[in-house]
Amino acid sequence: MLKALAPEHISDGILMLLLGSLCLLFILFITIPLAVVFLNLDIEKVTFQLRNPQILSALTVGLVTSFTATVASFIFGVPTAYLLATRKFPGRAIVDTILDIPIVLPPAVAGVALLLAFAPRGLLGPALREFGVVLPGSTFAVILAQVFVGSPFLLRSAKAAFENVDRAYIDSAKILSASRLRVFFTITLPLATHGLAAGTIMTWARSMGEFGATLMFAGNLPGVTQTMPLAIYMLLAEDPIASNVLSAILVLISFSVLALFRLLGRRRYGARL
Amino acid sequence: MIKRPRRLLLASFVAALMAASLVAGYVYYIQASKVQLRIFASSSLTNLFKEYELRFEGRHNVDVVLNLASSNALREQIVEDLPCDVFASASTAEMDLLRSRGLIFQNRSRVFAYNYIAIAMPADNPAHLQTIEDLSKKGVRIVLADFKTPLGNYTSQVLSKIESSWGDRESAYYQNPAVEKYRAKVLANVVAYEANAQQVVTKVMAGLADAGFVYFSDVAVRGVKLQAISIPPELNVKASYQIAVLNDAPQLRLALAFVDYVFSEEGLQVMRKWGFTDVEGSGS
Repeated sequence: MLKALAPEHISDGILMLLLGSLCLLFILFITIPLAVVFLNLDIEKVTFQLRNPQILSALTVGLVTSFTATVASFIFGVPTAYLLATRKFPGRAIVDTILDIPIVLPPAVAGVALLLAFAPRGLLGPALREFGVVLPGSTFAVILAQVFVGSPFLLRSAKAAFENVDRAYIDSAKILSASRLRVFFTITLPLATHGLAAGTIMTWARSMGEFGATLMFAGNLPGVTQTMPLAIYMLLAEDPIASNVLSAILVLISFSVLALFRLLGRRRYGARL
Repeated sequence: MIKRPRRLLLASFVAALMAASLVAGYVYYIQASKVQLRIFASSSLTNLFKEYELRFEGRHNVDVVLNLASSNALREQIVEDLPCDVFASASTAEMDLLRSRGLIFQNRSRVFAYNYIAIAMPADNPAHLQTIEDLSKKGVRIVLADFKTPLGNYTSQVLSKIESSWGDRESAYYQNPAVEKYRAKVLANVVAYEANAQQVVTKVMAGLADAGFVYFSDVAVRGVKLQAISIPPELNVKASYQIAVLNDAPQLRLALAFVDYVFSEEGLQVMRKWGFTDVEGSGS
């Protein structure tokens, strides 16, 4: 009985059939919901919705915040990644791990953590208020939430890219007594471009899609903190088509991000996640 | 060291993104440079206050920002010192709490509308519910508002009233065994407790539940999207909506103007349109 089930008794045909059907089910499970997002839409509905003020303001807030968050992640993330990739110092592994935590952290936890730290009654809130800054309910809070959850993608990717730069190039440049800055800009940075670009794109996409931490920390104010995912959530009942159009926009953005990501060649120069 | 066509593609993507962000930034800048009036309102007031927003913005050079959530969540945000000009609560309790903390301008809040509880079903009524007692049948999928929200609190009161009036053999209004232990039977059918009134309506409207306890105003204006069972006055609860200006209102003058607008002839007319009972109409 059991012998019949032994691996060598199962023919290749059956095996392929089994694998094929599992694969097919999986593909359907992912594609059907994505396709349905576009099924109810036509040009007329889309152009009409693109004049809907709530959609426009969600697009505006979403683009402004995700762009700023990406730039900020880049400014802080790339030097950090460079240091982590090229310097050995005590506690490096710990720092490395801590900075990656937001990738696996539930966004709701990120929201609570940011509130506890920056809300008016939080740890740093009273000090911030001395300067007239109240973060929750402000666009800046959206950016902070996005940097918190989005920057690790850039950090990881940039770190891997810097690590994969062949030491030999750098050493030979140093033999030619090039300055450290010159080596960085003429050798390290160009060789790491792929990884940096891929990481930047992923961070931007993640910022664009941020929902949980934004909702909890920044709130849900149209025109101020309501990004696209929040608008999708809020419009679901009253204006399902608006919600649908916004979802379609985000699916398209996600798709182009991934397409670009593939074109960048994920295996070369550490452009991976 | 990216190959040329790829570099071109990447560059054009980044350029498009930056252009879009710049345009968005400009639009945002124009919007943000307007004075903002922040109004925290119970989610059950969503439709009404969205219309108030449009009309008020037409009269004053101001950007009304609505923060719509359950009144208890909003009250918490106000206690947490989030900037807020006007608070419109679905229950007296939340307002009293703020007043006791000295957060209300001149300690003055006013009742501006009344509401009642009703039962809502999806437009196709999949569970074929006709009467209040049908909700106690096994297998009916019900959504309620979380009991900490005003709607949840009112719902809880209504369930108890139905049980003690229609479901109590000692009561003069006793109906039949189906309504006995009504509260427990309905609670056993609950598939989700939602964070605010708007979410209950969303779930029912999307057909994710067979029925939900909502505000009367929610079913009054959604004739085609929802079916409703009304709850007779003797079993119902009257929800009083209160509005107040906050002591720390960043835009005090505009906040007071907004409250005045709500009580204006036009404000009350819009309120009736969205299924609320205005203060004058109810005679109290």
